[in-house]
Amino acid sequence: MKKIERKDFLKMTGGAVVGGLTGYVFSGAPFLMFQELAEWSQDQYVPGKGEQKLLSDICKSCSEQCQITVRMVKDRAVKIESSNTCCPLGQASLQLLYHPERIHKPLKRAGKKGSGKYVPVSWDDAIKDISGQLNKLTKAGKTDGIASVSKNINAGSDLVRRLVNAAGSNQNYYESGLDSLTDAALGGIVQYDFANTDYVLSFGAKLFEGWGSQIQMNKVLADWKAGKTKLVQVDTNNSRTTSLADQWVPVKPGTEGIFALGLANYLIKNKGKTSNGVGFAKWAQLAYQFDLKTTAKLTGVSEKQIKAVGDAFAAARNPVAVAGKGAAGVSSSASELIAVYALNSMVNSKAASLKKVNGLGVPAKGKASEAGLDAFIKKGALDFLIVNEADPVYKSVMGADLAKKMNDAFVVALMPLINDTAHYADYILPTLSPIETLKVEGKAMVNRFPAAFHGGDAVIKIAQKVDAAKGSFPWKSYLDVIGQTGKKKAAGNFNFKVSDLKDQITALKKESAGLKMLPAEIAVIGDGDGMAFPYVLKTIDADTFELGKMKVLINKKTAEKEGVSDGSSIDITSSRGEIGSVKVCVTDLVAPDVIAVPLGFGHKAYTKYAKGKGVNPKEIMAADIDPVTGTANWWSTHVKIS
Amino acid sequence: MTRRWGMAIDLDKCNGCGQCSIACSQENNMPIFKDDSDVPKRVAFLDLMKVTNDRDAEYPNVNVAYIPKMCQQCEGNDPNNPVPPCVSVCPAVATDVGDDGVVSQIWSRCIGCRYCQVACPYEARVFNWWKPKYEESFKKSLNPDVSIASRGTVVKCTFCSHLWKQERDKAVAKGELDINAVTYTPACVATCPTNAMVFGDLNDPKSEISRLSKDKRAFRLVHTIDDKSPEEQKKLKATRNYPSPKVYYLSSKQWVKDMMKFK
Amino acid sequence: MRRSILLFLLPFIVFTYVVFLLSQSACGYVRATKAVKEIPFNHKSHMTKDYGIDNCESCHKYTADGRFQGMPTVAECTVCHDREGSYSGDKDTPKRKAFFDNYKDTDKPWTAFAKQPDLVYFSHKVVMTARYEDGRKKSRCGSCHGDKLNSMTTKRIKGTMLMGQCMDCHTALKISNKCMVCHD
Repeated sequence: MKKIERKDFLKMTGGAVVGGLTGYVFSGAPFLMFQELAEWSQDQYVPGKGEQKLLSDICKSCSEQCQITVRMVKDRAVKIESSNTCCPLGQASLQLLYHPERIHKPLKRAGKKGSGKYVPVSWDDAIKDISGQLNKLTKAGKTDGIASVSKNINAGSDLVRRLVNAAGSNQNYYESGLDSLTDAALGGIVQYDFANTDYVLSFGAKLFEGWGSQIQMNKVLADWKAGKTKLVQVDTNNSRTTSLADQWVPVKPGTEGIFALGLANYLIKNKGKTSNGVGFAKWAQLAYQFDLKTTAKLTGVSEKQIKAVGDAFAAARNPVAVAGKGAAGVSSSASELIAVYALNSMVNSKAASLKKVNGLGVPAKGKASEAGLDAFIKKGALDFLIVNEADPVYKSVMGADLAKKMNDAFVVALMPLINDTAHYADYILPTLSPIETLKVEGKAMVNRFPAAFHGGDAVIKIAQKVDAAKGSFPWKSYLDVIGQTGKKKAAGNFNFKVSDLKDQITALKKESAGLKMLPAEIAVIGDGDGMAFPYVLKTIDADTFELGKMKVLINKKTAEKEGVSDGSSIDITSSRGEIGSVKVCVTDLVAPDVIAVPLGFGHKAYTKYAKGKGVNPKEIMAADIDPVTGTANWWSTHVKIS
Repeated sequence: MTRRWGMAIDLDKCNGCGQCSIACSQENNMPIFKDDSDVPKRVAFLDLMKVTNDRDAEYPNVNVAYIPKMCQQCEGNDPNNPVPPCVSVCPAVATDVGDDGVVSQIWSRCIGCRYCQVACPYEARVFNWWKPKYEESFKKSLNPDVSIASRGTVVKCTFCSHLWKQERDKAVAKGELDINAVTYTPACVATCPTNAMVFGDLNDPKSEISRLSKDKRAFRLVHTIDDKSPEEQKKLKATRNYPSPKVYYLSSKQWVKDMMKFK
Repeated sequence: MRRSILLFLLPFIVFTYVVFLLSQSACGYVRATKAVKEIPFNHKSHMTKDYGIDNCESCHKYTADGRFQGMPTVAECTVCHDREGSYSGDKDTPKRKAFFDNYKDTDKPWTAFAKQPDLVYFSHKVVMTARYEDGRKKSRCGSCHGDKLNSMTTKRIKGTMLMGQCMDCHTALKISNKCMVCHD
């Protein structure tokens, strides 16, 4: 055989390589290779499959008690079927259930307050320490510094209240909300019958944006037949509710209460109406200060229109006046709440009645108002604080002062996610999301956190080790309490509280010029609770928060006057401080000389989805504390922009 | 009779609460991003669209509404031969219109050219600029009936057609073999707390949606050809393919109609 | 010249053949290792004898809402092969099997060969329930999965079924081939 030369060798190698490739290609392996490559590079997550089940139960997280169905795939809850009921945060509760930042076990502070460092501890250790602190204080007789803050009136907060009362203190507070403010001002909450009224006069109450019970208000909107009920919105800026209303009475910022007084004056003087509230005669004298001319000047509503509204209100079959400026976050002064309710009493409205919600029955000592969180922050001594699913450091205008007070006190927070307030807590006890409290055949539908308990159950556990509470907590679980509380019964007659409020009412006559800052709320975010959930972030529109920058709304003419334009970056300063670096969005949805600032942004904690986005206007909002409600009236604040 | 699914949204009852948006995100496995504030690039099937007459009016005549806007499931000039604008331009047949009028979107065929996103007159299609991600335990609430798209593909509302398939399976299991007898409700309509959203078969003259689509308050988003006389409409339809969406909005307020028809 | 061609062609043919076989077996290896069959199950011996297991649905069941459950769990086996029965005994009683002791009733120790990609919503119920007007079934399990009835091993019978096969049958039966019928 001839010797194999280089050329021949190359030919053989060439043949081998081409042959190999041909064999590879024709074997079909490239298809498999490309498929594997595509799958590996795209790296899609495939959710686990399994048997699908639909489990139903009644959600007890608020008084609405909606029937909801949870779609389970094996042991995962994938969807909440709410059948045209429930609330947006209820639909988002799966995001709370499976939030990666949920607290699994009780946490104990492991660094300075505000540093965010915690270590997990057992429930027994946590309760020993917490009850020990309470026992120490009660033994030493230092009970005035024991306090609690809850979000709403419900079974859980009733249990917290009882614990604080049993320990010898009556310092139970709520966040600035409609029911707590109304209860302080009028001695009961107002129960409205929107279904049977033909004329609704809303004083800044953004009825369909999260005000009151969102579920109830949604049903009201669904059932209102066109033409049968007229909604008149008295408000400064336009919002979703005002756009849905039949008539809008634009008023100058913060003057809804003045409008109510002016209307009252008109009804008393021109229509001879009287009210059965205690102290009416004295109050009427104060109302006379708000004659048509004065009211028109202060509110910016023409005398003719004030008369027209008064006439229509008085002539309606079953009119109702609604108070409570705002949506999820409500701020109204006591004089405003009383004045609006007085209008109802003057026309004998059957669509508004005062109701007392029964709690767990331990009577409060003294006269401390349960809304008065801000008054307490300003003046009270704090040794021990229970924070029950609330966020007062974020939501109260005196949040920074509260944080300072919390630095030197023993704080226990009951919540599922670490929020701005929990940052200053010594112990954080994990609570359950609404889904986790749902049961099917006695067993929880989803049990992701065996070490988390309903806030009410946590309180019962603590109470069982507190000496002063012995005998006051005969229940095993919050479920035993649910049937007992929350019942409404007619409240007594309301009192005009003239002696407490006459200064506040007279001060209303002072006109103030200059820029005013008003809050605005967007859907689902509300006054801050929705911010931790990614699907809720997808509902934020570009005029509120875009590309990491929060926007404030300014009227076209005002923007020109102040020398800013759409997209300008400004700082807002009030007498309390400055919030900075927000962008301007020029729109005539807001009134002249008003800056509308969205609530819900500027969290310093509360998961990575809420942290560090925008600024919190409450830091610089007005902090004049109402003499009756004890809460700051933060609705309208004097500001300057730069 | 084959189905022709349509939706009606009553803006006199819609208060912009956002519950439909969250239900849609939960049902359809929307990707989770820490900062979702780049609004034009946001991946959401249902957009809570802010509509305001701010451009044309001054305080206090300016109003606002937040309106759910999803894929309008256009059918083109002829309902019997639907040709939506997005389907006609897709080079990869990644989107197609089903026999019931629902425009499907198969992301795995999509090459990401975004031609359909350009063709859509309603900006209802979204592009996955980033890889759809779900942080840790959020993965547990993913719906296995909706597959997770990959980065670089277009996705959109499909009127929850996977729920139709679920209902079809249930019907067949009970013995009902006619697929045209299957009814279902998409996630957004099922959750609307004011009953502002209605879903049904436009081919069924007795259904509520048929009645609402002919209501005097009804109008379609940006579809100004609806305001013209039938003869003019016929002439115009001969010149080009109009989208002819199957989502009807109802409002008694003129400003809403004006702004949503781009007057 | 002839020598050049030979020098090229011989390795070419050899390598084509060898690499072809190697690639094929590699593919088979990759695909097969993805499907685990821990307990050796013999379809023929269970179905062709008079055990009352006469159709696939006896073990491959549906749920009440029409979804196919896929592979049966060990519970299906232990219904007949009693965990507490006897290892031997009369011919009419299914014998107890020792290997079941390693599994719980809820285990599924077989991975399916026939796995759909994530974006296919394939409904067994609808396909299997469809009948012609004269009552004949339009499709049988074997149309796609092969003749499992006569198989005595756990080996794969039919290759990967691509979308085209689904569409061909649909076209022939005049059933809609629109995307949303099967895809989400």
